[in-house]
Amino acid sequence: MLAELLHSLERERWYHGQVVHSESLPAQRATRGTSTLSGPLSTYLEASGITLYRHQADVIEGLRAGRDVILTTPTASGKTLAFNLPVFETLLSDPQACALYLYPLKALANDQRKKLLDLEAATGLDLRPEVYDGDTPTARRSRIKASSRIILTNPHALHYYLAWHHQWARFFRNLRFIVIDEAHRYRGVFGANVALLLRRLFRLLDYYGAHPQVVLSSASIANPVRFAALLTGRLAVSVSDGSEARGERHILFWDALLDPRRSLTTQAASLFAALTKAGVQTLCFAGSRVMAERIARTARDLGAPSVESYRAGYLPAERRRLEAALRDRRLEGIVSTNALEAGIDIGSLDAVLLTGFPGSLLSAWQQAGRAGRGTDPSLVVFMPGENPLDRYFLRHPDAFVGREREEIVIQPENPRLAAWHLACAAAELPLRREEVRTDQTQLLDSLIESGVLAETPRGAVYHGGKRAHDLLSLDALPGAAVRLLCEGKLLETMDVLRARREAYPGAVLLHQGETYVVEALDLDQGTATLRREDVDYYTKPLRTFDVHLLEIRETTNQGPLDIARGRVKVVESFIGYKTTHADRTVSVEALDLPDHSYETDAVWIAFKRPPAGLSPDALLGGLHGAEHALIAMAPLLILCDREDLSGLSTPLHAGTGRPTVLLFDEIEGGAGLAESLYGCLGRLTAKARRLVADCPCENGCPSCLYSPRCGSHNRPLDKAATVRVLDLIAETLEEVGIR
Amino acid sequence: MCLQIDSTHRCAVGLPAAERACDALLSELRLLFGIGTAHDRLLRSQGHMTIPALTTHPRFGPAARALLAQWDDPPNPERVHDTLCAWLPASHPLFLELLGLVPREEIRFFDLETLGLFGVPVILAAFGRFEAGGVRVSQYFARSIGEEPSLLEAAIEELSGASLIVSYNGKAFDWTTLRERVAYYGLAFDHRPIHIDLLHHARRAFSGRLPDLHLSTVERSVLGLDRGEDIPSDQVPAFYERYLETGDPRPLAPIVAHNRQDVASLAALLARLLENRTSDHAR
Repeated sequence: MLAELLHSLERERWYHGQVVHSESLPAQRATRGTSTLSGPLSTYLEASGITLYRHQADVIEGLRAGRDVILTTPTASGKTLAFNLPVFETLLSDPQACALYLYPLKALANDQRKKLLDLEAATGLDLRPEVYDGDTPTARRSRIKASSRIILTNPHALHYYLAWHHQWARFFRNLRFIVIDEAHRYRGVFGANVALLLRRLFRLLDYYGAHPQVVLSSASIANPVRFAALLTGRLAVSVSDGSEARGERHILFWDALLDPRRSLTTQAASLFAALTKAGVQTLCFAGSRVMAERIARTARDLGAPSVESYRAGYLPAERRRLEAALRDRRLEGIVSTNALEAGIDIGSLDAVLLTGFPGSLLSAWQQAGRAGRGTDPSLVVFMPGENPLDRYFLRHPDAFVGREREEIVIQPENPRLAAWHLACAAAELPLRREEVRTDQTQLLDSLIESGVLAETPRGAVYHGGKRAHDLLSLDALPGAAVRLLCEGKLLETMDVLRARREAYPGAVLLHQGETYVVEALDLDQGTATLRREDVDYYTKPLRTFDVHLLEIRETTNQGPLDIARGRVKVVESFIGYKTTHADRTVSVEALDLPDHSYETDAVWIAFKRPPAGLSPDALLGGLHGAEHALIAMAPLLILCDREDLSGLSTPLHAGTGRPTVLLFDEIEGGAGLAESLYGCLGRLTAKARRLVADCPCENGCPSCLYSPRCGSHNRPLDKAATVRVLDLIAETLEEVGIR
Repeated sequence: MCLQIDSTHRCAVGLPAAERACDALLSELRLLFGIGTAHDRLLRSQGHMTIPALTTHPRFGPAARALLAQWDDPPNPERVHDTLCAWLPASHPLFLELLGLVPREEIRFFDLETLGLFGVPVILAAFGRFEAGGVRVSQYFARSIGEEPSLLEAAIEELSGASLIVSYNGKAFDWTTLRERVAYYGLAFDHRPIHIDLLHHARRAFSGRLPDLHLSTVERSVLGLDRGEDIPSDQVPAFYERYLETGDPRPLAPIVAHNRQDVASLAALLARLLENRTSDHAR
């Protein structure tokens, strides 16, 4: 298949040897498991011709043994069945038992309900799986709470239902399982909020005498057990090795820069058209709806007859039509934003095109996992964009193909979040002092002092004027929020920091794959006014930071460096923003926004003496380059939005009194990113060094040292000095044993 | 222990006599399954004026006999209430007849003051009961948030002796809030008295004539009552929080007066609604 394809490419006018590397992952035979299920479930499996894989059996056995389980096997490995079977088994043996399914999105909950209904019908059980969320009609609500044994909801809705817990007494008292599907979506501020929400849920369940087991299902990540612990506060066993049958998978690396006259989008469209015309059913992922539509249109112009584009927000009927068209091959190709990454049931295709790295290996492999029908061979073409991390993969395909994955980190300790969850908890049941973690009693005291909570003999009681649960949105930090309005309609809500970063006047903002242009940002009123407009450029804010060290939490003070992590105060100053088209800067606009300061977490490296042999200018360029390279590679190790991490480099920092490189969480209160980076700084530095040293450029380029977000226009940068600085850091880390 | 404040209010409420109430209820043919407006008219034109008169009817006889058996004799107020809820809107005047079916001393007027709309403490609860010549109001006041549980216990005690409660917007607010706060402290309470929410009846009787249906508006325009220096309900949390902050009890007096007046007005409004109903009957 592969040789044939490459051969046919050679004949194409638009092919200039862009396939610079190819890898083939061998086929895998299924390993079967040995769990025996009771009555109707085994009948069902037999009737459907299903024999369990080993990893599915592992989940069943783990849950039977009373453990929590986190399942991180690949896409299309039968994860849903793996947790539905043991849940049904328990609900079958105990006629009162209930299960709660938590989904990050309403659409996913609805899809899962259909699967549960099918399993219910096939097994003849009466469990009444129902979705209960903001869309549930009032008339159905009491009946669901009174009689459904499986309820599916989302964290936003659950947050409110906890305030009404007595209405859920029947369900909570009998709760035996909490299924957290698509768990990898719970990261950043949202993840920390969900973690705190789950703590509140467990507290109420404890009150009702229920001690359910938790099953988490997630895309592949580096730290499943730790992630489960951060999210749920409990110990889970990990099932991560997929034992399903897999066909051979070919991965091509496509260097679009080898044809400088055609953009990545045009090249993707040509390849997409060629594949679909050859009868290779293909799914192409694009960064935005505009790009998706352009690829589909160009492909049609090139003679691909049956291709369409897909976006978020389709109605169920439309979605089903596309799903069906893909299944019976009336459609040979579809171009989509990441809306099709997971959860939506389109089955598998022959090939997947990735135009640009989607930001994480987790996403990339969720997307790539869409290729591969049963044990047939499949094709993935990865077409990186022009930025350091994307280009890194072209030079180091192993980083993409290997089994390495990112860690997900969340920080439920963020005091700004924890305080509000304490207030909500105290509005759910009187909050006794001994229920509060010792490091949070101070927060409790300040809530009492400020009159949000009242201390009573039964515990702290919420008595703020507004209802506690209204004061907290799980998507954002509590407190001042900016509402994004388009023609008077609310698109989304952001905390101030993110709004400054993404919704400044002139900014192009992506919402569900659509582009919007920000017309005005009023921070006093907390509103940003947007207009819908299809544009083919992007904008990046240009800012500088001043960072004051407040507290050192951990430090390694050996050799020539001081490496530390701790609390800092950041002062953010705006310079302007930059407009880029196809990764190239088009213009720079000045922008006047007031400075903003906040506390967060940081990790920093201070040089006790300047590295020998570097001139002051070279030192400056080296520190600056090291900062860029470290930030660029961080997404390979920890799952974060690139935008959530920022940095600072200076030949003399007021706090350390030395030449310093500092990275910090660009989230008020911190999100655990810098803290995690401290623990893997060795690996990060090695990757950053490879990024820079292996780039064939003379003295830094957009593929290695340049950052599109740099507030000082990528000046000064010194490639040789950067390698020196990174080497020095790597050596010291090795000496002190930080991996 | 929370603070208890008792007061008595002169007020004459002409509750329906049991016999008259039964007659009124048994004259509503639409309480039978299968009888809507059209059948009602037809049956009346044929001389079937009451449910007992239908017991021998070839088509509706079984339903009539079943209903009478279900209601019992004298009619059980809860079961009558269930039937009314099944067939009539909550604002239907027949609901007021239930007041004639329960012992007078088992009726409570009821009103709460809280620190907000949802999920916040109850600081004051008032219960009114009939006594010779008027209504005696018992108020339970939490002098601190810590006294809320004892306030709720007092409320539970008051309600345990009630088979019918009368409120204004209590179905949406006061009763829901009480149940929520009782659950918040894990107190035992599963008593469900019949609940007559006068807001529904006031809306039916006066809407269109009044700019809004706030109790104070109804009092002023319908009952001719002037509260004088009353504080608006939405100011109660601010007054109470000021007291909590400063310890100065002066802001409390208007809260207590406001809540007491709410309950006294409930009785007066009920009296007026019952009079309207008799004049409707006369017509």
